[in-house]
Amino acid sequence: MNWELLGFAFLTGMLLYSAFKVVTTTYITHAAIYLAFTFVALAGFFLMLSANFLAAVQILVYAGAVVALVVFAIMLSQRQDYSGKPIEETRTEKIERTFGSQYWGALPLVIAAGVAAIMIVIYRQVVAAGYWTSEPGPALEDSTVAIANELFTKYLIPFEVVSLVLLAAMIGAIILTKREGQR
Amino acid sequence: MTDGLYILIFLLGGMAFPIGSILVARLLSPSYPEPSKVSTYESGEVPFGEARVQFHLGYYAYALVFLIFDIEAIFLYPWAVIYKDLGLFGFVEMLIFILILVVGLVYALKKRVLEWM
Repeated sequence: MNWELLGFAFLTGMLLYSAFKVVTTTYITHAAIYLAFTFVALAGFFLMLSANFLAAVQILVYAGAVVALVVFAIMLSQRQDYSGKPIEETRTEKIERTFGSQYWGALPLVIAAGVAAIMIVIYRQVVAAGYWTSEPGPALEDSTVAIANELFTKYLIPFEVVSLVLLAAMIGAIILTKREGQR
Repeated sequence: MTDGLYILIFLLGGMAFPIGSILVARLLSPSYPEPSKVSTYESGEVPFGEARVQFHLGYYAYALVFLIFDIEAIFLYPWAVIYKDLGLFGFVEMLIFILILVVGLVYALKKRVLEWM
């Protein structure tokens, strides 16, 4: 049995299903949870590509902090804006709501399928033209060490600039969220 | 792929623990529901209103500051991995990185973002 293929299939299923549920579920808190699952599945892909550090970033920052931020935003919003009640509907109504609205029909689905088809065609063309090899290069023995060695020597200045960017983001966030005259 | 195997074992173990406890609790515990038993527990008081309340908007800044420091913490991982090789140079490097962000923390404290509202 091909374990890699099995893992890939599992992660793909998890990713597609949870991403689909993020936009179609009627509970807004459930959407946040599904978003977390989407991020975790993506982290799984990074792990399969032996990008361990990237997987850790994905879990900690996206599945952890960003989803927490989304949940915060839900908690802080007005209650009227959010409908915690499930919509009572029949199966056909649900399918109709999920796959097509009155005005746009199945347009999003068609666009997504079209983009996917175009990407596959382009990828095949590029591989056939020999720009990319279809075989991946050898995986790094320890990608975290490789990243660290580059980051803390060659890219030292960009690394320090990152902290300035984060500082600017933090001050900007405080200024924008704190209202005038509020202590 | 052995590292991946460890992660898989941890993942399965982590999932089995809550699922297992819930299942065992459901199988072993007696269940005689009645209205007062299944109602929401609110320190013995009769619950009223809804569970969902709107929290103070000021806490959003809290979450944003948390996000920033989470990203900062991420950089400590690769740094810790090669800390021995970097030596004092690496220490000073990370010190500068953190000190710049401490400025942001001081700013947040001054703006009273981290206070109870």
